[in-house]
Amino acid sequence: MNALLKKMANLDRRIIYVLISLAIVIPLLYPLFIEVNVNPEAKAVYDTIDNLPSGSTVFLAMDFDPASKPELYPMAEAVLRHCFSRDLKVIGMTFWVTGVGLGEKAFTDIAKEYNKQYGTDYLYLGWKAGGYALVIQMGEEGISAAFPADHYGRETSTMPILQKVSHLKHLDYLVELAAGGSIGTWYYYGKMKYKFKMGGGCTGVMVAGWYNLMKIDWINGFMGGLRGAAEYEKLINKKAKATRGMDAQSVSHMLIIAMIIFGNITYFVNRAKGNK
Amino acid sequence: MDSTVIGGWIAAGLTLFMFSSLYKDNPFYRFGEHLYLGLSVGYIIIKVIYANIIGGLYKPFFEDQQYLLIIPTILGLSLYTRFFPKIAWISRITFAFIVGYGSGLTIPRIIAGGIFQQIEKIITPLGKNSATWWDIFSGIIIIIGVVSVLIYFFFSVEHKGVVNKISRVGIYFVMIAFGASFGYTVMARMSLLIGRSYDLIEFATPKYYYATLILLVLMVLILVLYESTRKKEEGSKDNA
Amino acid sequence: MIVAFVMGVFFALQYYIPHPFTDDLLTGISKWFIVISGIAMGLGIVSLFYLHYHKIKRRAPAWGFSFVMFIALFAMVGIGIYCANAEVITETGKQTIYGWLYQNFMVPLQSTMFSILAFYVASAAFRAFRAKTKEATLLLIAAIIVMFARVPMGEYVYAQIPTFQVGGVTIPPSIGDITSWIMKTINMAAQGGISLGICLGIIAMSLKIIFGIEKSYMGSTK
Repeated sequence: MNALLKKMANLDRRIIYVLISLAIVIPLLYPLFIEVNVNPEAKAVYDTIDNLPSGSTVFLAMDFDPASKPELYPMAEAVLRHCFSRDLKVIGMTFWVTGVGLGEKAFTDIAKEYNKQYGTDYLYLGWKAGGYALVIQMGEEGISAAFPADHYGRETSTMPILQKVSHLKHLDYLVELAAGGSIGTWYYYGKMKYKFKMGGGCTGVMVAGWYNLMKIDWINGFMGGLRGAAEYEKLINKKAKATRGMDAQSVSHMLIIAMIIFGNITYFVNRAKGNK
Repeated sequence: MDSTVIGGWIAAGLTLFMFSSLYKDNPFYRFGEHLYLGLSVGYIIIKVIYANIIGGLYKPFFEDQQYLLIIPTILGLSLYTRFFPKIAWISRITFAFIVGYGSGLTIPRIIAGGIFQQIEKIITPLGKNSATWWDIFSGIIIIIGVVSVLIYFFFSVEHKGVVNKISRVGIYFVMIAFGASFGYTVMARMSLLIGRSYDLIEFATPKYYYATLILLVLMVLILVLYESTRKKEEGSKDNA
Repeated sequence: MIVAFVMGVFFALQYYIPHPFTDDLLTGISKWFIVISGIAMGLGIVSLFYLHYHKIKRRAPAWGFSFVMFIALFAMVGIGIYCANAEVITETGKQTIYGWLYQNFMVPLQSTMFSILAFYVASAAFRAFRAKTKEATLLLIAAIIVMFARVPMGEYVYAQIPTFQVGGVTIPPSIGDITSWIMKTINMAAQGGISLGICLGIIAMSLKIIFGIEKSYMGSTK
């Protein structure tokens, strides 16, 4: 028994890897369809966008790269679907150079679903090096001064979407989907001076810190991780990848909780036997 | 076979290459790692050329006659003197320019938005007319937590007596916060794996001619062969 | 140091002097910063070239993979220039080979690199996460509550517990309310304290840079 417990406590990591793989793959193949409850944080973002008058402009900052794609890309798709279904205009950009293609794909695919016209209903600025200097320029001189050409190389100053919303202060809402610290850039150099409303979405790792940001009114709401994306999909009645992933998330979490509890039990039992 | 299917095979193959590192370090993983490095740097080069060099420098300079941009161009190019020890000191001017600019911009904004705003939002909820007893209780917990955590991280004063007691409270707050953070981190990491698994399952469907399954079997066979060949070579080296 | 001092003091004071002259200067210098950022991105690229070139020259272990890196890099640059940085042909909406390379090479590789962490987190949680002290126990309990409560299965299981009302208050409270209180009170307090500390640290570091006390950003003097 002693030897068995010791062996269990030092279980080969490859067995753990196999268990985790099964915990993820099986629910994806055989979904459990457990309902996702919506939290007030995600609802706040949804309500803000839902209450914007038709024709308002939302700025979607897609500040992530393929490493955070599973969590933040479904959020981007859900927000775009929501905006386009309400005839809101959307301007997009990213601070992450390797995430440019993801933003481009999201805009192109979702705009096609809703027959939206580029330049009038939506605009994708792409990426440019500069960080907070870009935000300052977009606020002071205008969006087309910071991005004279969009992601496709077309001149932005004549685009219909930028005639009404030329500077950051004209924005009706900014949604920051962040895999890093760019929320600080948008707040310190953008919202503090130009006073636009801001909400967002973040990876699971950052959720704990973003509760604090919501408390101090940097953002009025946020979607946290894959669950946040699933909540937003439920709110817009278009369940997609994030919702499907929640079953796998559930099973994998239960497995890890079980492993932690089991690991601690074997540790305490081994320690007690060792003390005797 | 159309490009989507070929792309699916490549994506599945590269995903499995990277996952093979879970077994042990192997040539598949090294190949994928270096391939990613080369592709991403090449991608970045193209983006920088088109967005910043052509769009941000060439066009404003030659088409819009913004000739003052010669100054940041010289400053930017002077950064490359770092690679020549005799003239590396020139790059320090640009570094000082960038860092001074960033530091100057940061200070007032962090004071206003980071510090004053945080303190205001921590204290004001207690004074609201609409605050319930539970809100006041939670507000007091928050103030105790913030103060005790700040005292815990204040290492210039020795942690003994009252300071030690308060910082112990701070540690408990920090441990609960880190525990919550760990829970969310597990959620985040699992989400990333869910994303890849979803794609691998899609690539295992008939549309992609069962790419994941075929490539997985092939890779396992090659890895087994590679391991046995390596062990044989090591065995013959030991005998020699 | 003088450059850092002048730039730092000017832009710190600029926030408090909203005059058109200072605003114009802020915008102008920001434009310069954007140009310098773009040129500076090449520094890392040059270092990478240098590192791998010397690896090949010295025939260091696994030097063949450096060739793979260079081939991939030049292929991506060449195709990017050929496609003029366009992932999609705007007229037809069709994906270019540049976009195809991005979606089928870069995205799977980068996504998978980070998804491997899921296995490591699970392995670490099983092998290392032990309630050896009071603090570790608190951390463990908080982690388990969050992991349990933030998934639909956890909420569903908890919802099966019978509840009853006492003076308008539900006993036991929902798992969502418990987690929400932990996140918005205890977690928020700790994160607020840490955040204040970080802000003070950033201000201290910025002042040290401006006044020339901190010079490490200039690199080695040799």
